[in-house]
Amino acid sequence: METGRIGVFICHCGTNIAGKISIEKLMDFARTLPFVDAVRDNKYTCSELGQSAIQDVIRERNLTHVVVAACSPSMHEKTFRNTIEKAGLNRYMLSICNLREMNTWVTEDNEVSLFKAKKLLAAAVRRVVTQKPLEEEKLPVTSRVVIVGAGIAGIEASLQLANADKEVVLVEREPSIGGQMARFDKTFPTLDCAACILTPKMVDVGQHPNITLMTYSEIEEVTGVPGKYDVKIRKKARSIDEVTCTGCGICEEECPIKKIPSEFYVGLKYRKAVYKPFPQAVPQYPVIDRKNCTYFLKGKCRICEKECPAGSIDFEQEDTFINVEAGALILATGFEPFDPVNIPHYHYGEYDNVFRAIEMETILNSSGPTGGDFFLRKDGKFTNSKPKSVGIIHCVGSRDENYNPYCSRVCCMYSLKYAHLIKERTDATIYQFYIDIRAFGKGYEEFYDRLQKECVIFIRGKPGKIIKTEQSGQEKLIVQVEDSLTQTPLHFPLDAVILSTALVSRPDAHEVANKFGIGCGSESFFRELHPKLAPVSTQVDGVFLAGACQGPKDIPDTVAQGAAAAAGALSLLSRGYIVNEPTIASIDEDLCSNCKMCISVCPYDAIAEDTEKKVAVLTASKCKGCGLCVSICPSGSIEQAYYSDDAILAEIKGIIETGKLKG
Amino acid sequence: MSSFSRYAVPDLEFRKKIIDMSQENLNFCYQCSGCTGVCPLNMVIKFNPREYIHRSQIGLKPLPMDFEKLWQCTTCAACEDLCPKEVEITEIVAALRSYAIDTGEKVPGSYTQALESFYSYGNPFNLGADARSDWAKELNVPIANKETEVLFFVGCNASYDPRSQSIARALVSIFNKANINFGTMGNKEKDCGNCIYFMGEKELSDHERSQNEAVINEIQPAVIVTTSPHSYNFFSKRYDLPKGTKVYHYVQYLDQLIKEGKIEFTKSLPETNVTFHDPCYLGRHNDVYDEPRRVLEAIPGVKLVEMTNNRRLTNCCGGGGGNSWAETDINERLSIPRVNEALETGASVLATACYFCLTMLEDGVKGVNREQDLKTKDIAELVAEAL
Amino acid sequence: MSSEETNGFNPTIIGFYCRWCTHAAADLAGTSRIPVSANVIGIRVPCSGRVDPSFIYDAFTKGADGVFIGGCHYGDCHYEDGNYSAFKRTKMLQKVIKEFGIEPERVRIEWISASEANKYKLTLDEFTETIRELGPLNWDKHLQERDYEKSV
Repeated sequence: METGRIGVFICHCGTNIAGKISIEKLMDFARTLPFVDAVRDNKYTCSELGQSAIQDVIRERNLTHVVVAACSPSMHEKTFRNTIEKAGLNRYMLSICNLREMNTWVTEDNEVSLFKAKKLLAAAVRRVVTQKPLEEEKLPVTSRVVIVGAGIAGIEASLQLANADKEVVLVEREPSIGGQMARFDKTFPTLDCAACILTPKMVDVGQHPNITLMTYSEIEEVTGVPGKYDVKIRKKARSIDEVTCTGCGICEEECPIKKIPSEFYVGLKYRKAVYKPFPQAVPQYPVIDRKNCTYFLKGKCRICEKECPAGSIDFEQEDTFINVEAGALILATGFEPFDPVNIPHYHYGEYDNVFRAIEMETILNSSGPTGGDFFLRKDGKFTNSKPKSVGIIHCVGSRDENYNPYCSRVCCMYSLKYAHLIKERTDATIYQFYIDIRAFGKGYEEFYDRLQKECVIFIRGKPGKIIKTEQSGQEKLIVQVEDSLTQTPLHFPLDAVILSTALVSRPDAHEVANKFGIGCGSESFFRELHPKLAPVSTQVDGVFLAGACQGPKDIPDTVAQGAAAAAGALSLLSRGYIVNEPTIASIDEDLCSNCKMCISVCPYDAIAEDTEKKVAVLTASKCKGCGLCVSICPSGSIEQAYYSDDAILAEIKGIIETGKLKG
Repeated sequence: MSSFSRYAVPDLEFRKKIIDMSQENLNFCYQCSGCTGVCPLNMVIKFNPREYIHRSQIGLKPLPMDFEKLWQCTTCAACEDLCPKEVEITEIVAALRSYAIDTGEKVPGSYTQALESFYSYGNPFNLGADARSDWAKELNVPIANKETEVLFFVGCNASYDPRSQSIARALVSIFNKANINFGTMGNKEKDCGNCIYFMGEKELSDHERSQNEAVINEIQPAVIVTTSPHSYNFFSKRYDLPKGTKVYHYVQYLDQLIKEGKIEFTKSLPETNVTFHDPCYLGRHNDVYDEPRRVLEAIPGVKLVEMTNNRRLTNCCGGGGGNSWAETDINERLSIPRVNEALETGASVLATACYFCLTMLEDGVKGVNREQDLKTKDIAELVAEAL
Repeated sequence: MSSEETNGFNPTIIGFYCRWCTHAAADLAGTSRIPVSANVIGIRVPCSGRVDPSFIYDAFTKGADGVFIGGCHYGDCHYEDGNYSAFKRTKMLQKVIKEFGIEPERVRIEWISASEANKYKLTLDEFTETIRELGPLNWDKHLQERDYEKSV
């Protein structure tokens, strides 16, 4: 039978709670609840004063249990657990009554709100006496970090950690590191050359003694517990012996298969069947594309093998699996450029001179198909005539409920960047078709200002369609748009149109999220623990996010997040342990009927049969506290700490015994 | 392209012309529409400076009716004062007016008449250039020469308009009492060029300016004092003057004379509440706000009371940009709301320091039939009365 | 159900919120100040799969008029597939309570992710209306009616 001396502490939270309900009345009600010994209120319970008031009452009244009626437990449960612990109580003798998020902020009527507050409080008081002291377990943290994705976010995180003398395993799916940024020519707003700032970092990563670089590799599986994850990595067969290959490039020169559209250059350039994706690739050794290699298709050729001076071609190589133990994981898997092919209005993929943003980055890049010049296309091929007028359409696939409702944050700025670069290289007249110009970052508004002064024409309106006509054999694109600032329907006959396309999540984001046990938000970007206060943490201890996999962002923010994620991982590794919540299951062997249902539902193989005793046995270190076994056990022999049957039934009791609200 | 004829195709030539004529001011605008939000004309008509700017930016000519309406802009610079991008919107207005004149767009009659008179006589009143100094005949106003220290630039209205001549006379009497060695350009004075510049006749403005410059270069005065803030604006910003020649609007000059003790008030006006209307070309165009107030407060008997919209927030009298010579429907006159503001202060004198303002506001007072309650005066007149 | 009984009837609904998703959605509704039915009182559970059928049974016997379970979308379960278990169990339970004379609509399970504050609101408001229309749970009467129907 439960017993105890409960202290109830009701928070005003300024006017957030006290402005909606009568604290007096709620305190009067609290005094009527069983085992309640002391009832106090405070303007801000989470303040130092509020916390020490709790501690004083615990000592004065010799309390055994504490209920704090305030905000959501996700805000301050930890705070108040520490508070009562310091006053000598076990930290699990606390129950939080969520008066604010679940009640005063969402209930319109004051009386109804007070009534709901009573129900919530009764539930918390009823529950708290069922709670028993629990001890938290400290799990050791392996001093190694696995970072997934080697774009600028992953690169930054790797270097930060490696420079702090931590071991890093950097896993990249593509044959080279560098990510999207490697495709860019210039970066906004400073217009410094992307390669000039990225390549040194890529080389650092390739040479750093603390970084194990695994390119052309993917995460197969993540198991283990926080602090000690087992990461299974598939190293795809590169068909090149990385130990002996010198990266001389002879194999690529000699390969007779020439016309494979390059992934790196988004199909605007060709590569061979054995290839290095781009000149500054790290690592420098190539990869054989087995789907297009004549030897793999027809069983003969092997020219590269004959020509390789180091004898590094290895057609027999197979995918290998490597297991890495890590204390923290950082996901930096980046974004995918939106494909506008499904927007019928803009005829991308149909009209020669409708380009999408990532193509433009490639075209403007000096290692791109045109050496950095902007030439028009005819019948799918670049000509040698430059455009005289170019339109840039903003928000293609962004801020659009048909495709992606969010703002992709970078398109305004890269559109301005294109305007500058194209003007510089072609002297064309540039039109920006925008909805709003969002120049929020440091130096961005100034960049916008600069582009205005460079005579770029800004039309406020989303083009309705692009109409193709011909003018002396050359395709002419008429952009049809209403200039909303003058309410004039307009036709702009242009040579080329660029679609400033959205940044979208990777198509396999959900699959990856599942592997790591984290969640995805509504747009399939990985979900952070808290949008403001924990932007690089996730709901899984030791798993961090960096860069555009969490949401569209520019390079400065991506680098900042890379460093922030590294700091998160570093603080975990430096502390050396992780606290495991003790809210796990336990089995009463005397009651167990050995039906094995628990074994079948446990997602973590934490339960096994003791074949001698004919009972189920639980390995505490493997249990994560989901409670599946508890709810399925037909004999009631499994109980979960903190989320016990007693606790939940007590909450139900508290809610219902408070009665019904009169209508 | 006839099948798309319902859609306008922008005219980049037009855009380029306006960019060139407005000294690239067009490019700076990001269409926040603060100009339209603050434009005092919207108290009386619907007027959208932002749209003029944007149409020019994207190569769309204003519609004919908008071209006509453009003449009602008084170039008061309320828009420029607010503009977060420091766009010189009056330059764009001037450029668009030039374009309208050059391309034969319809220019409303009263503006055409004023401009034609400027062409023929160097003044807007269709009066002979040789009659310019007639107002001074009985006053023995000297003609400036190399010995003259202060060149008094009278301006068109103070020369020809009977009401405004009173300002010139007041100034002459002040100069005499302060023993200033001054002179005018006599009939050699041409109009200063400011108004015709903002009316879009930039070449004529250049011509008049260079004629004035030639005379001034001969005189080599130490100081030029102008009656009109408009002349002051043009002299201080666009005139090529002899090295060392300083330009003052007369309130600045009087302020100095009072400071130096050269003006001594011998009489006191009867206890009078005076409110001051900031002329746009003195205040917003040239940041001269304190000097007229100091001069007013120095006059014995004057108590300065401010209107709600004063200094940078001043509302326009409606006379700038050539509008003082134009016929405006009484319901479209900016002077009416401004006079009402002045009446709200309870002042019995509405003072100003610009002959356009004086003319417009006096008409405004008549327009609301309150001549008994509110007198309109120029600061120079008030000063002269107290000497 | 007579109109007198439904008029002014304010049901008591027990909600079981998975701490990873629906509980977070409730927090988000709070911070976004989205008004939500006050009839549903939430209980935090580690996973929708933790909800033992006996809890639901217990809630009804004590006097609840409806039970709501909020879990993660398929594939998003923090514990791999606890939500599958919860779903299967709820479907089964709905059949069982029908035998007891309780309308299966009095139990509802829904997937509400941490970012879906609006869905949280809409679901709870709608469920409250459903229960309001069904009226108070009157177990004895329901059983009698069922026995009567069977005897006929």
